[in-house]
Amino acid sequence: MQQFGYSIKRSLRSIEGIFWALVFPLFLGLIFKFMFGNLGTYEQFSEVAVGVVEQTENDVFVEMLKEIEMEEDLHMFEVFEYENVDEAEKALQNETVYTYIVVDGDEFTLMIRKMDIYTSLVKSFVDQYKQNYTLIEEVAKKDPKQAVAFATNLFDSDSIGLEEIELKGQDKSPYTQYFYALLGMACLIASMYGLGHGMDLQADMTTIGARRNVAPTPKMQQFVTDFLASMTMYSVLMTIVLVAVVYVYGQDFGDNFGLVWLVTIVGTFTGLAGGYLIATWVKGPKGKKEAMCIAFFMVSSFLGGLQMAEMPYILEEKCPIINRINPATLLVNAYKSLAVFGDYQQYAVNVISLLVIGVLFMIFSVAKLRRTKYASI
Amino acid sequence: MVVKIENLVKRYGDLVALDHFNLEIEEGEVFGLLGPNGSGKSTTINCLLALLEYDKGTIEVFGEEMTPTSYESKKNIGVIMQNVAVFDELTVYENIDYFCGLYIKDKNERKKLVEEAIEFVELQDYRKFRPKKLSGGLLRRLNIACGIAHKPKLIILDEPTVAVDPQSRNKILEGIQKLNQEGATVIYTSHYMEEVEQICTRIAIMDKGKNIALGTKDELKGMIDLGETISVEILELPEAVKEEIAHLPHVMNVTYENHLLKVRFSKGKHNLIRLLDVLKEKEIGFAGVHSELPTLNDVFLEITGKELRD
Amino acid sequence: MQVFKLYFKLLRSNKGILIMYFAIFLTVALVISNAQSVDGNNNQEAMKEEILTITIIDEDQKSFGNGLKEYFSSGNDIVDMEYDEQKILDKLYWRKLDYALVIPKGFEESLLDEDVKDMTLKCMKVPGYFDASFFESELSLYTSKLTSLLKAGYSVEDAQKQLLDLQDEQTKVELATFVNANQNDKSTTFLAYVPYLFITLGMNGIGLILLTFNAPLVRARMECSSTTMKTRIAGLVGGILLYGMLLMVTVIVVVAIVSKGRIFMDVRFPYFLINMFGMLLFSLSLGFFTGTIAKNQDAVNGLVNVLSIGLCFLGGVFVPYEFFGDAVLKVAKFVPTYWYAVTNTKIGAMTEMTSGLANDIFWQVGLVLGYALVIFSVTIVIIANRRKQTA
Repeated sequence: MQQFGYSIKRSLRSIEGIFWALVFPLFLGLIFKFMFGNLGTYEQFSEVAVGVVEQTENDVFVEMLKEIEMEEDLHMFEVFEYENVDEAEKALQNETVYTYIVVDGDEFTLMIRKMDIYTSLVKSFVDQYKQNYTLIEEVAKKDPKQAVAFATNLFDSDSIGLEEIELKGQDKSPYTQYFYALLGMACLIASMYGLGHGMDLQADMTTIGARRNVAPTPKMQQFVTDFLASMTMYSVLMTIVLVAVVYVYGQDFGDNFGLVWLVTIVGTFTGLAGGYLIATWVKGPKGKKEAMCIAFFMVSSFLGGLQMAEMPYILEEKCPIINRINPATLLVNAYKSLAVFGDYQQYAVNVISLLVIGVLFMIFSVAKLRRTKYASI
Repeated sequence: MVVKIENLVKRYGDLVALDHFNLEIEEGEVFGLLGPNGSGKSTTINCLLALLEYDKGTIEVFGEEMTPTSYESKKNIGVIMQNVAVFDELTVYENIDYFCGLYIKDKNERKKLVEEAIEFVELQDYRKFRPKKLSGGLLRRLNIACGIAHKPKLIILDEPTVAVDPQSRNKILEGIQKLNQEGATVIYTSHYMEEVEQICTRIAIMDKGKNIALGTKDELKGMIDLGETISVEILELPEAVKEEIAHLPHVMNVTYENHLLKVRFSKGKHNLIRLLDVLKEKEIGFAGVHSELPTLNDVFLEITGKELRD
Repeated sequence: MQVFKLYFKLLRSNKGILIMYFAIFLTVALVISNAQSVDGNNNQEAMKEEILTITIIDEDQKSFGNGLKEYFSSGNDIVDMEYDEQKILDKLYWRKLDYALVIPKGFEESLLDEDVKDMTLKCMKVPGYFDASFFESELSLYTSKLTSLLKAGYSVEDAQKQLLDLQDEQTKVELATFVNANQNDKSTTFLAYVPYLFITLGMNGIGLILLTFNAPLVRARMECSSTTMKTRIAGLVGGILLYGMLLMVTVIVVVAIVSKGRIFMDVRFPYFLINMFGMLLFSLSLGFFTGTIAKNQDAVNGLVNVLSIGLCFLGGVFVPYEFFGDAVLKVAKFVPTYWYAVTNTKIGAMTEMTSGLANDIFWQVGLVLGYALVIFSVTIVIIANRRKQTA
């Protein structure tokens, strides 16, 4: 118990430990919150800037372009009219508009810098306009009497209703993924704790390790005490991070906070075990091991989508095995299962995989740690 | 018998670190392990503590074979490592308490022991300090307190005075003697022969993994022929006189360098008088005369043909 | 000269860690950029729209379903699936499917018969996923046209045939002449990640070495020596610059490889270099600063991760700055990595140098260099002050 207490005390007083476990994730979270909290434009497609050059006039088209609404009081396009192509070209070049349309009566040409979601939207509109125009002509050819009714119909008629089979999760934002990856990383940073503790148990790595090896308290007992203390300590820190992300940064992790918490703790265990693994198996000075440790959680988080949320989907195409064994991805997916899909089966698969990996790390570490005699010190 | 090492062999690849090494240490001794760097002192200690694998031999501590799980024996051993081994995040008090806690589970007893240890190393004023704020000497003293707080019967000190200022060093040496007086057996390794001579009751001299000489310091010095070394400051010494001195009885060898004549005599009487007689007879003026009894360095030199410290 | 030489000795003794960092960060940058690049040698490639993977589950088994599949199969990937929510969920989960549409039994009848209440289609999708909403708007345009045609007396088959014919009527899209068709090629996307590379490698490499220089005893010894502070700093800066060249050369080699050597013939190459050079000096001065103020390895590691990730997110290196909202954009404008990213995109899209672009590059790279200079000067001031304190 005394050992446990001191182990906790040491973690609490370690500025580096607190930095990595608490400050770093919360700082990144703040950046994410700031960035993704303000990324609305892409989502709601607020007015897309479009240039128009009328070589041969087509007032109906231009009027429609201006008037079409995405939803109540939200125009789809912001229209800039230009006298000639040169002006429009200039506007395109200095990024005033995403694209400009050269209108030559019923012929339209779209000039773009690159094809993206905005230009697609414009193209789709022009396509529709032309197609509707053609349709009216067709109908008129077949039965001129119908033509006017049809035209009115065409612009007013409702499309067929679409009923969404709702997923069981709550989260509707594509950016919460970054927070999943962030928490995944925070859990894995526990490896830094594991590394320190692992090294301080081995006589051939630190003098403290030697001193603890010659004490009458069995090594495994010291290991378990340390481990439980780090688990306790780090779980508390992770709970703080989790609570901050959910309640302060307002990220939706789904209804079941208990399960979200559970996977966070399992992730912490796996992270910690990863640190022990590096401490026991990597040879060399402390600096090298720390670098390995940082590499472990950063690479894992990268593969889990910390820098680019699409990463796991790309891997799913190219090398799906990584998604099944990478701790950060498993964490991200467990969160996603709960928050987006409400899919407990997927959740369970991820949590169990994570646990299995953690246990494997631990078994390998303990195998090395159990050794009480060393070939050289 | 506190420690008994028989036929211990330890190899690092091709290098033989301990070569059929034998050692017996009795209760109440302050036993010195003396030898140059790389002679196998630390290896011996680490084998003794069951930290190192060894190739051959047996080690017994308190009459039991020493293994990593010899917890009963370990309870009675205190170790002070060459490098300071304390947690930076814990205070002086907490560090001692932590390491003592690995030995003593009872809280009240431990509290008493920790206080005693702090007093013993005179760190009372630094109780709440973190190790980073302690100077080198104080840090060493903390290191020692961590090793001995549980009042072990056998204390092993592996070069505890490396890079320590003279004042702290004397404190440490006095402390060791005090611990011994309180009943602890001490094993002390060092390559400082003066320290070993000063405090050890029995000494083993190690070289290349072998125990090359063993005994009290007088016994060790008795082992060699050298009785005394006499040095005389002389401005000028003709070669013929040097020859004549070399032929005096008991003279082992004669050197004359930098106006200093050094004559090594084997054991015998009237060596100084005979030497001075020759100088007087030849009318050679001299200034200071010093006579030195043999040191452990001389012992080492005579057995191995090299100096203890290179 | 001594300091300079020592710098490289230390670099060599740390080569294990450095090689690891190089390998990791290079791989990261290559993987991300590869995923985002479009190897466009022609306009068609560069202008391709997103391909969606859609399943249309037809429980009605009438002509409507077939027509729908036929219509949307151009430009999209239509896969066949059974109606099994769990299976669909699994595919949506891994984005192996973007959208699932279910046509319920009796749907077509409800369309045609005025007396039968209209039925709705059902769908499953990942919420908030842009590609899915795009498909939905296309679908709604299709169905509204379809219902209009039906009202005008068309049969379902005829109406769908009519709509299919219409599909060929696509608006002509042309890439503006001032745009380089290779704007999203591997070189450009890889170079977009250079700030991450330079900042992490620069700070790690320099930090690692300066820690040794700044160890209190080493520093004291140097300050006692007859070497003047000027030569000492000059030595350090020289070492840092040469290390920077190593970084630059590494990146150029990688770009040469990903572009299969074409980069050297590319008009954009010299301008890429100028932009990179600005970022390089910024990263190096950041490394100089970190190595000077950090007390230990942990502090260096902490600063590296906070600064590299922070700057790269805020600067639009990880999440493209095109998506930034106004508030973020305001902040991003204070971040040098943002100006690097903007310049890189502009250079990537250029076909020839214009005065406007030259002006942009001049000011934007100048801004980054300004940051570098400020950080560098602050560091020098810190070093000078520290000397006074020790004296």
